[in-house]
Amino acid sequence: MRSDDSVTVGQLVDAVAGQFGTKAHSVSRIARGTGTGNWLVRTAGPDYFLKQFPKSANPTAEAAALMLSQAARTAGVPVPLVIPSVDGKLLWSNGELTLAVFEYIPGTTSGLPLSRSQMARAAQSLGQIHACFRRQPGLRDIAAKWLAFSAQRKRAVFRRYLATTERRGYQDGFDRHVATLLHRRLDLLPKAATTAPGTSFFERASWPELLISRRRSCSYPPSRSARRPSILKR
Amino acid sequence: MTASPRWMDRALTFATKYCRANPAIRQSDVQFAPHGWAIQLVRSDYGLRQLYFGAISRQAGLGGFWGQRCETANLILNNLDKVADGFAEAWERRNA
Repeated sequence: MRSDDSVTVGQLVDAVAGQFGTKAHSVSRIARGTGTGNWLVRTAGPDYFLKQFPKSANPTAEAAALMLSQAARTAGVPVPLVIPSVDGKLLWSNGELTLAVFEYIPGTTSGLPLSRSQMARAAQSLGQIHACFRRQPGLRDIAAKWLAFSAQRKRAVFRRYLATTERRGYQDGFDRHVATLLHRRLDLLPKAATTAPGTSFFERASWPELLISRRRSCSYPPSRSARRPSILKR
Repeated sequence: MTASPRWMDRALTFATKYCRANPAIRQSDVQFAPHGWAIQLVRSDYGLRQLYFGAISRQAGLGGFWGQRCETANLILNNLDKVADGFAEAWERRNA
């Protein structure tokens, strides 16, 4: 497994001190996360959550996301404060290492099932976020690309991953887990493909309209009786 | 959400709370969100691309996340109309 984004604790301690003006007593890995390296920084004062971005990350997009996060906080959405670097950047990078520092919220995690009350709070926050940024133009509109996916092309991509896990000789349990799930994804693709609208509508409609307009007789907004896209009944 | 046997109740609770926090949202956006989720969940290879062809090290949460996305896609696709109808009703109750 490649780990080009590997880093030593010493490098992180130095970066946190030099770039964020905080002396760390300890920096320990948080064994969760799906795309970034996550670390808990303990200091004589408050603790911090340190996010280490992989080299493949898009710094412009990540910096924009951090700015949105700060804006959401200002608007009253309960999100952690992003701590700027000493030169005022929310995302700091020296080309080798790319970091963001947040206030640490104890007792939170990702990837575990939420309790009912946690889920209610998550829904409330998501609604607040969407309401807050309703008029904010997106950096890029990827909804059309997602919805217009080609099942055939995706099948080829998934098969390429399967071939990779086979070529690696199923090095470990993770490869086998991925292979099993890829087969399930392949089974689900035809169902998802019939849910997707045709690409020719994207120029002029939002995605809910696209889902409906597959049946030409549907009006928009849909009536209760007509609101179910015909493509879903195949 | 989908990890619970009462996932549908939880999904509807989620939709109701969401609509109350964002009452200006269009009904169709809420109603057809499960369609968008199903498509995104099935087509996404988030993580794998970076892991097998890119340059990130193994993430402890990635395997579980992969599994959850498959489970969720499966549940949504098998109950698409039911979830969409429930979400539409949650939108109607947003000001209740």
